[in-house]
Amino acid sequence: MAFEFTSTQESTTREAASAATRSELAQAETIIKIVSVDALGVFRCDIRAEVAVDNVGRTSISDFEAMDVLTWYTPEGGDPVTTNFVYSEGNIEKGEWALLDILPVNSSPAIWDPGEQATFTWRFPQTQEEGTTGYARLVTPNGVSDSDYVNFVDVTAGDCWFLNNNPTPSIGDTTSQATLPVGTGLPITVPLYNYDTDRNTDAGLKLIRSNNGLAEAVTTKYQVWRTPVLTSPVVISGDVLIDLWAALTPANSNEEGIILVYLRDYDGSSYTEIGEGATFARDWQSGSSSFVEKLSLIKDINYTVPAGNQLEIRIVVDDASIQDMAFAYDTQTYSSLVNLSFVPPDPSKSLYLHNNPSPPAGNTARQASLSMDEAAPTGSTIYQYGTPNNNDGLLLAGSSLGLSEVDTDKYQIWTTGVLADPLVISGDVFIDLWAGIRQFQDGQPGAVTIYLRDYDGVGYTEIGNGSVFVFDWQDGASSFVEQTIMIPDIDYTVPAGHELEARLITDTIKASKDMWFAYDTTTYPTVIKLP
Amino acid sequence: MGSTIAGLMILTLFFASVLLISRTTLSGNAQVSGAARDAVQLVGERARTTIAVASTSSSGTCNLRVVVDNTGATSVSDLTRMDVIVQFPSGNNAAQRLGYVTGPVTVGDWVSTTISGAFEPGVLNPGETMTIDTQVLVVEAGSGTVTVSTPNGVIATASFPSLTPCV
Repeated sequence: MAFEFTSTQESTTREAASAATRSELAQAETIIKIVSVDALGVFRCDIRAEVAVDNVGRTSISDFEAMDVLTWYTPEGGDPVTTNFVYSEGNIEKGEWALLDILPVNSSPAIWDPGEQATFTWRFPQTQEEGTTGYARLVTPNGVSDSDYVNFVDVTAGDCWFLNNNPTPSIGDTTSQATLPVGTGLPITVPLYNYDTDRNTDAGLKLIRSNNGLAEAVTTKYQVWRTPVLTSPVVISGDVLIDLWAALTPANSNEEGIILVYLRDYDGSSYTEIGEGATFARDWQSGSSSFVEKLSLIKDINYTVPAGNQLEIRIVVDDASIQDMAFAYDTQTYSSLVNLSFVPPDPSKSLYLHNNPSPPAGNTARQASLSMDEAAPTGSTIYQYGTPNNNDGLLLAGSSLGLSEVDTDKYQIWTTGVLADPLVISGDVFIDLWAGIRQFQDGQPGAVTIYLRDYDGVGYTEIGNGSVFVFDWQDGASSFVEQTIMIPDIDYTVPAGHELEARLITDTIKASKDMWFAYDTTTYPTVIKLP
Repeated sequence: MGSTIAGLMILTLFFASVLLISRTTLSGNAQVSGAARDAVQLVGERARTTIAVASTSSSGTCNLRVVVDNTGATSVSDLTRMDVIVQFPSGNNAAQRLGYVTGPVTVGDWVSTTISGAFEPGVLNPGETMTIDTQVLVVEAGSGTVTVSTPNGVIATASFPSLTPCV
């Protein structure tokens, strides 16, 4: 009996020890290796880390919730901190991490097997100090880790609200819904589902053109998104960025699209309008057959949405668009959003538009081609740049022909001259433009498009184009007004020996007027800001 | 009566022996399993440790600089337990295990001059690079190989250019 007792105890102990050793063996056979670490801008809102990790061990990993993701970094103006990120399977809020994908895709997509590469991402709760490095560490459920540095070369900060479908994250097609949610979580869904199965079979949400603006009451012609009831006030101070993914339906090129965006404060029974803007493009599709990202600003907002109220975003496709339009949102690729605290990034190169001679010394006749370079204007007086003229600056009459316009009274060209070195353009291009409605008429709409092209001495390659439309350009001002044209996500290199050309036109849309343009003075430094 | 007492004593001795044997066995098992776990852990740590010599250079004298990358997934925090060994394949220079110092190096020493990265100063973390400066006892000009070893015995080896005597 005693022998049996001892033997049983020994057996139990051995089993326990064996189990423990198996666990240690599994840990010994677990090896992960970080392949790449990138700090990426979250749609001009904040920074997320994206880390690709190889499973180079002999064990599979599936309990992702039990993993740890930590990063040591320096917040802007503060001391270094270590943040332990929280696992998320939904839209990623600040301070959360998620598994993006595991490649190659196989029969067990939720298991990270040996030989596979997993990609993780996480959003930082605070803005990083630009130019610093952080240190990222991933720890598997059984305690094995790898770590590496992450460089915060360019950082962005904002207060972004993403347009969501309901439910979010999207898990399938839905019918259209009168009011949709808007949230701060970075969309995690990959496929774009059909958000209006009661209207069509296409992905996204389609809106029919309307000429009623904010008064539109037909539900197929507008869409509303609202924040949850705010638990704390939302302060909007400065420029609000509207970032939309949309497509003409059908997606024809060389056709204009114009989307009206209204921001409102909803207190549960009535509305207060905060601001309105328009996202406009002379050539919305620009050769694309899919959804296209366009940016616009609602400038100089100064408003606080009180706690207990909701912020509403209302979208209408204006009937000046050539086609109805479809919208994409709430996916990783198509993260349409409103950034309530937009700060443009610092440019790596600024190309100022000049007259000839520069600095301006007197009135000149209109000239077919002018120069642009990195030299900031030094002249303090603006002259007439296109005599005969009836005002300082350059008059461009309205055109609806875009790049096809041949009337030299309706477009103006600036070039860099032949480049000695390649010019790399990678990211968003911002054009700060000083212009006024002809005669500085108040209450009149204005629209401008700029085309960036690569000229090799013989022919042109279009790099990108951007437009701005403002309902009341002057807004009470009796002089030139600054507006911003944004061209998102350019990825192009102008080779050495070529020229970068900027071609400016005044658009005619929705009764927009001829315009005067100002540049090459310290007061009106119209400039193309390259990323 | 006497035989009963004797029987009880024998039984008591028997049970006491059984208990003692049982406790000894348990204690032994615990120690063995703990040792096994430690061994396996060390094997795992070692498997995840990798270093590489990125470069070696010499100022032309006995000063040898070795740049080491931590290409693995573990940190090296106890630099005093690292080994730096130089060997000469030919000639009269002897193989040497250099001694770790934290201050200026003299002949026979090595020092960690810099570790890249701002995270955890003094620790060679994954993704970081350590610059090692040494002075080697050289009696005649010669080149050789340098071996750097982590505390858990993972090594990296590289050849170095010709060194000349310092004195």
